[in-house]
Amino acid sequence: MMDTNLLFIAVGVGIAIILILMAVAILKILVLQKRQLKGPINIFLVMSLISIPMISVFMLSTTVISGTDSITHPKFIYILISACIIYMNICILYLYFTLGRYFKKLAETTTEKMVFESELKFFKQLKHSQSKLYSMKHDLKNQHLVLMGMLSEGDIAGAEKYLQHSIQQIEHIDYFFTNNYVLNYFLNEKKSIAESHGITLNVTSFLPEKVNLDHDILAVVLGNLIDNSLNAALRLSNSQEKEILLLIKQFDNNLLIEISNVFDPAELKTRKNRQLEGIGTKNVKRIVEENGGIYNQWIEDNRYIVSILLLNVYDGEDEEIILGNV
Amino acid sequence: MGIKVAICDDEPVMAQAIEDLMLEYAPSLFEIDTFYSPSRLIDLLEDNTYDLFILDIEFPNQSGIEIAEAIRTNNVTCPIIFLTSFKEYMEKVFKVNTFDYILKPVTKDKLYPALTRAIKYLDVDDSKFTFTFNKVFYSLSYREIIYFEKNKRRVLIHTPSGLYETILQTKELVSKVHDHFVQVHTSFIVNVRYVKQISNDAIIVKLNDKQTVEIPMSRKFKDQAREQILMRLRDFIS
Repeated sequence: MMDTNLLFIAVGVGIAIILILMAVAILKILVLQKRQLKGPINIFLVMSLISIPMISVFMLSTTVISGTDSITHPKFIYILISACIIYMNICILYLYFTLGRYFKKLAETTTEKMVFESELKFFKQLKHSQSKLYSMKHDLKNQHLVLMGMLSEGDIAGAEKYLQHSIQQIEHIDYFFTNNYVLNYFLNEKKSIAESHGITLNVTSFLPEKVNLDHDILAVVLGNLIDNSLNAALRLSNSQEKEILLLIKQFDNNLLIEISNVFDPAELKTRKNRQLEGIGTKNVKRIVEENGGIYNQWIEDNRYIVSILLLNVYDGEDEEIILGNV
Repeated sequence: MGIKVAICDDEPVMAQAIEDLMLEYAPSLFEIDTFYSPSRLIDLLEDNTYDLFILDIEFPNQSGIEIAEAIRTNNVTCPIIFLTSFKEYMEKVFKVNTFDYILKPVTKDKLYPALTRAIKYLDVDDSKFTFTFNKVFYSLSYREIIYFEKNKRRVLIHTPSGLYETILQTKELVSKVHDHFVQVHTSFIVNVRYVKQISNDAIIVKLNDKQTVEIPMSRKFKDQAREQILMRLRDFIS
């Protein structure tokens, strides 16, 4: 009789402790929520977090008691322990899912943050070019005066040269590739990286602000393509050939991305495996095909060309319908 | 056959320079009309059309986009090339499905590649697919054919204006068709011009502005078909 009582006391005290601790935890959460105005806390999450250590302690104590062979119902103990283990596993599973969701959200937020940062940089750039524009406007007046002077003296050749020089200067200040400012910023970054290595990145672009593709698809595809070309151009010994041509153009709902660079034909042998196993290229191809596009690469003379066609990308028409309804 | 071209620029010097460049490109290929104001061209469009438009985008009171919008009300596919002084473009140029965008000053280097592509796109040779059915002789231009469908001995020819048929063997058909056609299945040969979407085992083609049709793509032809579609459409875009 004494043994059974002891067991009941142990179980009773154990359960009571769990309940009290849970109550304390919940109360604490509620109070904290009120005080610090933090975001809503997931009570299930906290309960499963707290119950795992508590139940394991409880199970340990139960096992210890059962070890003292003063137990009259060993079966009951086994059932109790299995129930606890099952419960803990459910808790862990729940935690696992919660963590999964959390990390997914974290990844999404990080991408969003990057997009916002690039937007911010774009606007800063815009501000900068705007102020440059003002100073150019100011200079323009002076330039016209210089030209007038030259023309009144009949120095047409000089005037022509002067004009050519000033046109060149205007074309040099070039930040614009597309109205899609995230991509615009991205291309500017890549261009400046290329230039810092003595490589010319020639971008011809004509694509709308909104395409039916995620930012990250364009970024991954373009990023990998440009990086591959940059690396190939870097390995070249002849500096005159260090030019990368990039074309991004939309017509008839289709988007063509084409990049080409001169490469060393000897690399076909020396880097044979790398070409086949290049993770970047594989990734690009997979992403393109997953998005209903076509990927092709070939060699023409000594240029390595990658061409990508993404179909049905322009969503301008849908936008118009929405505007029409409003 | 000449290509009817409309050039619209408010600066006569500029318009003349483009005309000269085009005549130098191919002396007898183009029939060029020049307009100095958008409204004149828009008025004329009501009962007239051109194969190719070369439009300035900046006019004193109007925009070249307005001309393009007027063009698109009747003619959805003809290529429009815009001339502009600004590298920054308005988002609207995409709504009118611009074929190309040339930065002024217009030079051979910029204009000729665009013309070459436009000529390819317009399929100027206008080669025809000729066949007989029930002892009647037919001639369809390849541009109009959306796809060929082989049904036992018969070949069904799908076009926007209707369905034709003839008797031909697949081998003969494949060797006969224009290079804008791609075989995607033992029984289907598709005009790349009409391809709208591609999935792993099918191709969606445009029948007209609203309707599409799904054509199966078999494993045997898939890789080659995809590559051909890319290379043909690339000729129009790049």
